[in-house]
Amino acid sequence: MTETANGEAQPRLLKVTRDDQAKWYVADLSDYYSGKYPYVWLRDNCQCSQCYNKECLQRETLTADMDPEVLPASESVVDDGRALEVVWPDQHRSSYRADWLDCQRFSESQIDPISHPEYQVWGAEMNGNIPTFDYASILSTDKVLYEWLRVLQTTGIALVQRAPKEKGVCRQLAERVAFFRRTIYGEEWQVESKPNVSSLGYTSKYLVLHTDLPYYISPPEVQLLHCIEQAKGKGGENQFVDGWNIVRQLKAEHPEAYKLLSGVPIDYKNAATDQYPFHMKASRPIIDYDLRGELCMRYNDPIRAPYMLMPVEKVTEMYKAIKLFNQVIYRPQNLVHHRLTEGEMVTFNNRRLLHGRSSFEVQAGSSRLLEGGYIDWDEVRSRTRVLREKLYGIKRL
Amino acid sequence: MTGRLVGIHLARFASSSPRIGGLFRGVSTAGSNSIFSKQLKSSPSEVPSSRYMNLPLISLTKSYSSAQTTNAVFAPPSSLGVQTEGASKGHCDAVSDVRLDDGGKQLIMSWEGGQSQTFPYVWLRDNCRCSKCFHPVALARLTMAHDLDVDVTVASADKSPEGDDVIIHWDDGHESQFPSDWLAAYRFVDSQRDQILNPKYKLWGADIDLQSFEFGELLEDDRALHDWLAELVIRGIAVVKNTPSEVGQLHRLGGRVAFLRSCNYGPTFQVKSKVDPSNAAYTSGPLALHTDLAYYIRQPGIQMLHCIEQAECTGGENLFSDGFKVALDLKEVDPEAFRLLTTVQFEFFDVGTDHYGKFHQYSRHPTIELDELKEIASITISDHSRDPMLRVPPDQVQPVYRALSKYCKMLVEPQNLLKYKMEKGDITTFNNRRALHGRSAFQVTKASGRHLEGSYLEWDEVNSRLRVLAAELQSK
Repeated sequence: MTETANGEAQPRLLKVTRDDQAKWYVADLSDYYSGKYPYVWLRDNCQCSQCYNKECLQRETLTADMDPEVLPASESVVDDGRALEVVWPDQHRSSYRADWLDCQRFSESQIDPISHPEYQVWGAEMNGNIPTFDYASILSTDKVLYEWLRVLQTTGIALVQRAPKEKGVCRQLAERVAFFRRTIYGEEWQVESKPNVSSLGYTSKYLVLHTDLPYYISPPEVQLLHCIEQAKGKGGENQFVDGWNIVRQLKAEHPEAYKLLSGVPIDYKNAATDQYPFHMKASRPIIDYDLRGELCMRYNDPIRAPYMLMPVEKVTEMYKAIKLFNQVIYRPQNLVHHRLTEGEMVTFNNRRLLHGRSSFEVQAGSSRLLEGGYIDWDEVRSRTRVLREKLYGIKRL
Repeated sequence: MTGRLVGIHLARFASSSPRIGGLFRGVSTAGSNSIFSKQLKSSPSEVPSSRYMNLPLISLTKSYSSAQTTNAVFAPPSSLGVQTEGASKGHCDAVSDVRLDDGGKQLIMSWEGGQSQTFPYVWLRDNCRCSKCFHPVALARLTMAHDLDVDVTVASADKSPEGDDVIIHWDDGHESQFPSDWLAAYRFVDSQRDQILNPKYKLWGADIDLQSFEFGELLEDDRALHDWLAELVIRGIAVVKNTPSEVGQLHRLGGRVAFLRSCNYGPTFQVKSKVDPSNAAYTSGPLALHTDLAYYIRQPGIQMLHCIEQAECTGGENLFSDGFKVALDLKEVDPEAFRLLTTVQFEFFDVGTDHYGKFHQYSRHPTIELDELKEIASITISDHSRDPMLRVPPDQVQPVYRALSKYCKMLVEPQNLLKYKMEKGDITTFNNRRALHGRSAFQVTKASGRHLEGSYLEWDEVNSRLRVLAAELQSK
């Protein structure tokens, strides 16, 4: 809370005026803020023990009982400007602290950086500069855990180093947050490449830039990928691209293609069996946003289904847009490369980044083993808020 | 860029397999055996053992023997329900004509029944199903968009003698073959709606004929399981009866779908109270109609509430209302209120400590969420967890409260409010993004206990199970 003009820690109410036409109070506060407070909103947010359960932090008043046209019977500024007291037509009394009112600025309210993150957009300059954290420190130190989670939210990618070269590491991190996001592949999963005994080794094909599980209506959010064993041989570099960076370029340079890529739903389908038979399907644009403006990229060529819900005359244009998308994501100025070493993890936002892998050789006598898992933003953000309060005393209103 | 694939990932662990786009999961080869050097023949049960000889095949056989059929490559868009409604498989008329339109870079097909459809060349080439272009086991595209020539041209195209296939010769020498009934299902903007992603909902009120299912049957009988899940999609509410009276039954039922969805309260949560009217007249106030976990960005899709023990009491009915139906009613009587509720986002929060430690969940949602087709996708109402924060200009505040108040009052009107008193052994199951639920006040008449266990499922897994069951039941 910034100091007010009077040098006081908390702002105070100077004057409160009724406006029964607009059905709100206009309140002037000592920090030069003048706010409008609709009557119905004040009534809905009465903080007395009848209306608000302070133990559970839950509202007790019900919308079904409310009168949206309510007009207060009377009001007064009390305690030297520290609170506004309102008496309602049914004689119910409410009291509102000036500093609480000061924070409630409706569309002008301060942004909560956890619920409305600010994204740091990047390209090839991230090469060699990917934020790095120490595995043991994340497990033992809340401050490091907090910083790792914040970087995941704002930058979208982080390396976690010096983890044990064994399975179970992803689970440790997931439980440090809360729990895994489970999918049809289970809670954690492994990816192994191993030549058979008689072969001299083999080459595994590259993986084009993609997002994981686009055939989920709700694709997984944070991805953890832990390198337990890295193959001896050439190649095997992971590649990453920042979706926000791509969006920026497409919007600026190819607005028509961007319109198609963000407007036409593409079907993704995956039918097979893992622990049980499944048939997943989702239908959303390649560049998608939720109602909160969060980016959800959804791209994986191998499982793009033939369905295209668009006029047939526009189909060829759509393919041109998809090709253009491919060209843009592979521009050198957008690509970040990193070859995981044993004991190293890459953690990233699977809805924002596209990731891929160059082809690699597995020489005889060696093998490659990765373990991975997912965590939801709901749990990551919740853990971040709890830590913010614990470490920095930053409470939500 | 397009090196021949010589080796792919091996999955050897029963609990998991490579999840990279679902490509080549559980499928491996090694050495110089390329899976693309051989054309795959019909029976899929041959596939694993003949190809991937050198590697442990346990999971492989289990993975691919049942799910794959020769038609899997050309599996039509799935329908809801075992009976094929309408032309989900495309009609079976023979192809009468195949014409090239090089100017428009498209193929024009006509069927004997009079139907005709244009297919852009690039779409046909992108969706070629030969084994070089489409992996017949992983059922995944092998042709990558960034290699695709968007100006590819057809040299010639013919229908097969019986008119059930179309054979295309491309100008680069490639050849594609498509069953005509498969093509008939792809009509672009005129395609049939996906009945699972975009269902035709059956709206309901207080007079609903509430469907019930037997717990024991759901565990054993795939048909019953299918019908229960279809009911959840179409109506969004159903009761499961005669469930054993102990915790853990939701895990069993959830396991028939896939798995339970966890939240900050754990994989399941308990609502337990011992009530005794002798101390004072024990009354519990009503629980207003709401949706669960409004404070999650990713709100749970389906809720299940298992009544393990029901108190001896008067009142205490569970209350339900069809949020979709009432929202459409609101749109009729007050379009401005409806508009406000679809645009203004309320914020929700929950703070505490439970199964996974301390938590602080926070989210925001409009009361009525519309999808890209402007249809109602989701309802969120939660007086308890609604935050004071309202990020709108102050002159919008009172109008949005008026709108919310109107909607809430309509939800509890007698013709909309379904009352169902749960019995011991009941599990109420409902679409948590559509059906509002609550409970009327109750007064205990005898010292007794009340115990409910609750949990959630997600639509992704429910939809998937429904598609698999529909296909399996249809093939029987």
